[in-house]
Amino acid sequence: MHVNYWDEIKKDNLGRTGLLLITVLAVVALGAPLLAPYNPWEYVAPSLSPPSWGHPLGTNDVGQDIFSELLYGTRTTLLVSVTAAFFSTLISLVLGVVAGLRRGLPERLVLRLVDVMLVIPVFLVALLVAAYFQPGMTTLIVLFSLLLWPPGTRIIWNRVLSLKHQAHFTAARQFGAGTAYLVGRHLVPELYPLLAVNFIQVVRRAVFMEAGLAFLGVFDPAAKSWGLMLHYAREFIFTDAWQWWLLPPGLAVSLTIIAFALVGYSLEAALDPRMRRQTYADH
Amino acid sequence: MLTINELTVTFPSHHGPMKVLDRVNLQIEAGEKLGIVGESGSGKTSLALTLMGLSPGEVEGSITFHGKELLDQSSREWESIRGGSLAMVRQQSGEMLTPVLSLGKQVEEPYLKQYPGRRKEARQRAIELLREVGLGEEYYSRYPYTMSGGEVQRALLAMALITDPQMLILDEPVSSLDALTKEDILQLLSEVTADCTVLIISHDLTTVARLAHQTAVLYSGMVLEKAPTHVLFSEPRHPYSRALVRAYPTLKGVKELQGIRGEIPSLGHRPGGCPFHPRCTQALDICTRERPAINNYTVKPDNIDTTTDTAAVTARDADKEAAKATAATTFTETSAPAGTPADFPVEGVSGSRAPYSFGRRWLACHRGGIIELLRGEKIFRRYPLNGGYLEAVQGVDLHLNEGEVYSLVGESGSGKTTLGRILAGVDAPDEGEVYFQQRPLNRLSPQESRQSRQALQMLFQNSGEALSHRLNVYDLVVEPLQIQGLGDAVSRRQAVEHSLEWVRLPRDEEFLHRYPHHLSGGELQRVALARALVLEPRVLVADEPSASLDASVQAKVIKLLLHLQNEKGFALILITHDLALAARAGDRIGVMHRGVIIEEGPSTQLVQHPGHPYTRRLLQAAPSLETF
Repeated sequence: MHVNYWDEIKKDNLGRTGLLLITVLAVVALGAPLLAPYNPWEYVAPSLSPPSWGHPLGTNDVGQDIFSELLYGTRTTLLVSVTAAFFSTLISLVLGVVAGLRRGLPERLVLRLVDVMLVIPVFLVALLVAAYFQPGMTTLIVLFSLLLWPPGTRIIWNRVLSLKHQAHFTAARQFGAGTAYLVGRHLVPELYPLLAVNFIQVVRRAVFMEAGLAFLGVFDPAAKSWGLMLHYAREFIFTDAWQWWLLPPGLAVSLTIIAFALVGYSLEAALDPRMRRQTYADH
Repeated sequence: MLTINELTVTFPSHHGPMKVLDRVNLQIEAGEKLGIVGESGSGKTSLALTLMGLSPGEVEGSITFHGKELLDQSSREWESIRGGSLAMVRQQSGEMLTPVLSLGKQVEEPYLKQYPGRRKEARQRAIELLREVGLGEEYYSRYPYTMSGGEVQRALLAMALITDPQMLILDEPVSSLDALTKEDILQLLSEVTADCTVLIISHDLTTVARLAHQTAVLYSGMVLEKAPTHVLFSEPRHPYSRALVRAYPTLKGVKELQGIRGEIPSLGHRPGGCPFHPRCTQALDICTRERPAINNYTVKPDNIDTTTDTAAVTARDADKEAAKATAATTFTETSAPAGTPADFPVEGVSGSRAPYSFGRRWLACHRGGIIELLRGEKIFRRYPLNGGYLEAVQGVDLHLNEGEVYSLVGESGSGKTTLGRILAGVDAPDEGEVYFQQRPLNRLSPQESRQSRQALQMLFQNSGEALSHRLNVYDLVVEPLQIQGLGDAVSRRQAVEHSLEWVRLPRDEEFLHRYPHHLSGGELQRVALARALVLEPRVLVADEPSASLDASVQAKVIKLLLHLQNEKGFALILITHDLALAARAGDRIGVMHRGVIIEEGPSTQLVQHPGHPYTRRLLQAAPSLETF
């Protein structure tokens, strides 16, 4: 079965929307210093100014431009979530492949560890540990990487078990190929779509957790983050400021999660032949 | 009676001397009938002419006839020998008779030469013989151009017999005749020569099978194998003898005909060492350098249908000693391991088979004849199933010879694939051992293991799955070379192109960059085959290579596979559920049922005389286009 996943996502309306949103977010994150009208750490206007031409979303309680804060917040969110998703997926890949290929003790160890990790309330642990360690971006990345790998590991382990009995692995083995060759040339490429799905899911969870932790105040107070904006804005919900201070970062978080979710769904649909046949039938 | 010792015949030519016969040793006892077979150009006729003292070349060695050295005779003495005790019927019979004399005069001629003046006696004897050969008196005054080929052949026989020779040499006695005339003449020959010593020379194996007790295989002027006729044709031991038998069409034979790969060497360019080595699939370095000595094996009368391991052991020993030049030694042979093909009517020499039909087998081969490549001993394999075990393979013994096609037949679930994977070294057996070239496959050093992976290849049941959908044709075919670390970029590219050429796939850039999902079932199968062949394996295990293909593509793939098997000389284990296909392709068939090989034997024998009830059921269920 050969499927061009990229084409499948592009053909799908939801997937296209998701990709578009992610592209916009990425452009914003990369171009924040150019796009932002002001330095978000400077006091540029009287505090709590309502939106104006000069300040599209007004200013916060210390006179910083909220629109600029929002743009810089995109950077933090994407950097933390994408990096954490990358490392977490890497851990899933290594452990999943080891467990799938080396049955016996290594497999049992990995699977039991996954079971244990899955019953731990991840958010709570993240909250406590982050609070203990003076939370910053690096702390969060490490923390998320270490907490979010178990579901992916189990999926990859499962897939490796079925893949390793496929005829083309046996064929390569019978040409004399060693394990390293098999994993590098045949196994990992077969896992690419699965890794992509897993990556996107971890990004989603990481965006949400990052925003949540920051909202609860467990984040470097000087950093620019959507969660942190929500955290500060919460105190002013009795004024009109919530409309331009609380709402935009909330929407931004939701939009980011939705964007990744859309791409994720579309990719999963491409992976699952039954779902794919339905979409073909619709066209 | 006639002993030929180290007979060498050389013709001078522009390119230096051409050896037509190279140290031929043969013996014929009184009353024995010896056949000599070989392709055209092997020196058969030169041998006959030399025996008659008619060879234009330079002759060395010795030919003793009744203790008399023939090569020392003067030409006058030769004439009396030729006319008297030695007579010959030659090929291209029509040209042997002059059109200007009546037949009777020509038949009488040798008699008159021997006994000048006894015209009346000669005439009487000629008429007698013409009757005996089935022509009748009236032919005495007929002219050769009024006679058919068969009649001319009869007349020539009469002419040869008129001096009552002690020994008759028949050179292609029936080659140019149609089947029915041939049958008549063969019948006649076996009747009138019943008490005669006969040397039959022919490229036609059936002629020799009908007439000869013993048969020698001549190749490029050298005797490669000599054995009792029925043994030679049913169990040839020399790779050339087997190829010769395989190439011969018979009605009863079920296996597809196969030519002998390569061309017979021209006499001017005889290969050194063993003359067959350029066409041999198991040639070693020594075969190119040293002339193989003749080894002597005893063929026992009671061993014809038994199968034991001794022969394999001798072959193994011979293999080990291949590096040394072996002197003539005597091995005891039981049954030969040779995979064998067609069914010859060797019962033709009925009744008179003993005492000449047993005795010795001569074999001139550095490797002791066809070697055994792969051997499985007491193979067991079980899979866990619902708490218990599924016994997939239960104690199978199997061997595969060099250049042989072994068909493994059985219904699905009989354990064929499991056995095939074990034999190919893909899986390890739970019990038992697989030997590849006498070395246990599962106990090799990593280095040896890697090499064995190169020599042992498997074509998997579903080729589409065995090809990664992420790799294009070039990457797929080059992969085995990359894994084995063979060659550089240029030589790999060449190897890939050769391999694709062998399997008759295009080699252009467009095709090389196609992915498996752009290929048809037949193309996929051929890419998988190219992948297996790129390492030039010695053994290929093909698991249902055509099961998912339609009949026409199946025919193409199977033909291609067999063609390549013949050309490349690898041994093939063909796993199939289709007995018709198995019989067409295989030298031998093994029938597998519930993890056991219940019956095994040469294809023809197994199809015509199935022993096991299950085999008979399979035969009844075999594909047929007959309608009722």
